[in-house]
Amino acid sequence: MRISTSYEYQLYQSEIDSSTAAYNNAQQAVATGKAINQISDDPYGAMNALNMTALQSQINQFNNNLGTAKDFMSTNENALTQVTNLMNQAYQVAVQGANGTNNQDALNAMASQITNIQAGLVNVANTQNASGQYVFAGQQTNVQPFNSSNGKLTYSGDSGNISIEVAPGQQMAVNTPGSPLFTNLYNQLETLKSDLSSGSLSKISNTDLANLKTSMSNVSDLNGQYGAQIDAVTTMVNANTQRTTDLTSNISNIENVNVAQAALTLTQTQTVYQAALDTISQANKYNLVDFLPA
Amino acid sequence: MSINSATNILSQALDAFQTELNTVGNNVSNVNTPGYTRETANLSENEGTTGYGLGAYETGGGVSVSNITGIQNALLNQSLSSANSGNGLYQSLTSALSAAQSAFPEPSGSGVSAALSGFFNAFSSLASNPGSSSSQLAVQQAAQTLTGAVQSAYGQLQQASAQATAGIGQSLSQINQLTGQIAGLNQQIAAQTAGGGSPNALLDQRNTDVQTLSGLIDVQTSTNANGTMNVYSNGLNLVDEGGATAMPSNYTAGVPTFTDGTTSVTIQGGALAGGVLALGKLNSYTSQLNNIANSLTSEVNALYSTGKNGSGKTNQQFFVSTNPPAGAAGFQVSAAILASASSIASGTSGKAGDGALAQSIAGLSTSQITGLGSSTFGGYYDNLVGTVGADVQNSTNSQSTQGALVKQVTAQQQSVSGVNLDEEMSNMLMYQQSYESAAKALSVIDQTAENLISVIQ
Repeated sequence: MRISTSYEYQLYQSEIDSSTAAYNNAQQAVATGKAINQISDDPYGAMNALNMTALQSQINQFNNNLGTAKDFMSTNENALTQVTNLMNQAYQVAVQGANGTNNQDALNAMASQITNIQAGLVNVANTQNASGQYVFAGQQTNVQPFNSSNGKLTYSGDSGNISIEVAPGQQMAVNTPGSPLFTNLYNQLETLKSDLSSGSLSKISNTDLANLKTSMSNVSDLNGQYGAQIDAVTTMVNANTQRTTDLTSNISNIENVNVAQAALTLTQTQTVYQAALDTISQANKYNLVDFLPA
Repeated sequence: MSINSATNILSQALDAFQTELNTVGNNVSNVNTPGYTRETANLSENEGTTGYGLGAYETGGGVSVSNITGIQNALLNQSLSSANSGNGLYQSLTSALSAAQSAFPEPSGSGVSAALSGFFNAFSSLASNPGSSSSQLAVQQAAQTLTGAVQSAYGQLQQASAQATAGIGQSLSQINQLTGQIAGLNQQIAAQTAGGGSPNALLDQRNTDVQTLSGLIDVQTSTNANGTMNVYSNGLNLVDEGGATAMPSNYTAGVPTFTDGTTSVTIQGGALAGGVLALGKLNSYTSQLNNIANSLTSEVNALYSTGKNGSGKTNQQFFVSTNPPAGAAGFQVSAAILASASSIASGTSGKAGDGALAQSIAGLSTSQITGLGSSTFGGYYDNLVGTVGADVQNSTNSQSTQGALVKQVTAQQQSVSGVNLDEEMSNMLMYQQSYESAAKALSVIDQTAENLISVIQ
């Protein structure tokens, strides 16, 4: 085939252009470590990566929510443990009072012990978590829920639930409205106190002790329930963390270059580029003009 | 037969060989001239003269140059023109779509996708910590990031559209300029051809113009007996013997049909077609972005207006809502929310622990949105990104295919019409030898004549 001289040089030029472009792309891949520098590099991969990144971000958000739920419930758990301790003390006082060996002075002293326990109970009922929320106030988390005066406990919270979304569409209730729980406990202690003051020992042994026992077991059940929920939260957080780790590696497989392959491509394109340069410098060393007589 | 006639024959031969050498000179001079077609001097034997001796005999009449022609193949020129049209189309399409692609800086994490996630996550955090002022601030900021990301994408798309529109205008005026030039060349060529000349330089120039024209619009050509060329595009007469006709200039984005009210033409190739097709794609991307903005405004507002904030305010708007919907251009967080993050409602009761409203807004992230063809917000946007990426990729691939085709056809066309220096040198040697031989013969004949004259003396 005839080859036109200027077109021959244009061809060399376009070979150098295309091998330079390939060489640059390979350099960029190695330098940035990114396989997708713009969507068109791999539209399907970019879509997948976006989708997985959004999913990952959603899972991270659920982990944040789970953390919030765990904090809230841990506060409940600690408070309920204190409640159990207080009720244990009250129970022991009641047992001691019921055995009939105490004079009225001793019983009055016991009654004032119960008053102290009541004060402790109200304190616990007004527990705030780290973010300053009153955890036993229903949804009125910014208002102190309990006030006591003259043996009467008033509740200014509500019966609202605080539920946190811990997985898509899955709500977890993390609170127990303070009333009736604390109101009942307080009233039982109030009854015990008045029975001690009035020396109605048979009422203590017949009803008060049994009522206290039932309440203690309820509190303990509730506490166990929060313990179980916290365990569930921990399991979910671990599962989510595993998923985000998997997603990170999947996203990286799409977005990042395979370093070994990229390095190989770089070497290959460099060789091609050098060859193109060599060709043009070697090309047409000879020309018929050289052989014509001067 | 006389000695004089031999001298005549040889002197004509010297002329002819001189012309051949001149042709070599012209070819070598134009080796790098774009659009130059190598020329060759066509020689033919002159009519002989009849002599009478013992019988009638005929001697040859020598040689003369009948004409000088450019060596080209019309079919290859037409192939090159159609390859140029394909290349022009995908070049302008790719350049416009690549400009649009920068509106979607994915998957870098600075685009709309991450902003959408951030927005819904902020509401989810607010739902978990309803009374918390830092959660309210986070919602306010995430909302601004989202509106900013959508508006920035919109701005880039608008810019790409403006560029494409300007490109179409340029193509149209360039087409008219080229057809005008071709019509002018037609007149000159016809005049020279009628005068018996061979207007090779003008023909080259017209070919170059046609090739440039076919990069802008796909054209077909036909040559008339008087040397003029008609240029059509898909049945529309652009140049004929009467001159050039202006290209109709009205079009609708996405449809490469041009009309001026009376004539209309649907073109298939060239930068002009690429620009109009690109504009259609850009409009479609923009309208999808508008859908996202409008649906976000209506869906979030529909929920948010049922909320009650800490100070008891109800029926508030989260995003600025207008009628008709303002699209991506007017996608904004409402002034009340911009003014005070603490006014953001998280529930419907106004209670500090009520996060129900924030939770249902966060839940929109997985809802199928009617305004988006029952896709989720994220899914719809991902799809848009995938479409843009695939469009750019397809167009880029087609462009490199067309580029390779142009290269291949150019190689063929150059193989016929291009100048090869070695070939010219070897021709030059041949013509030089011919010239030397003729000169030598002339001197021998001259010697013979001298001898004859000295005999007579």
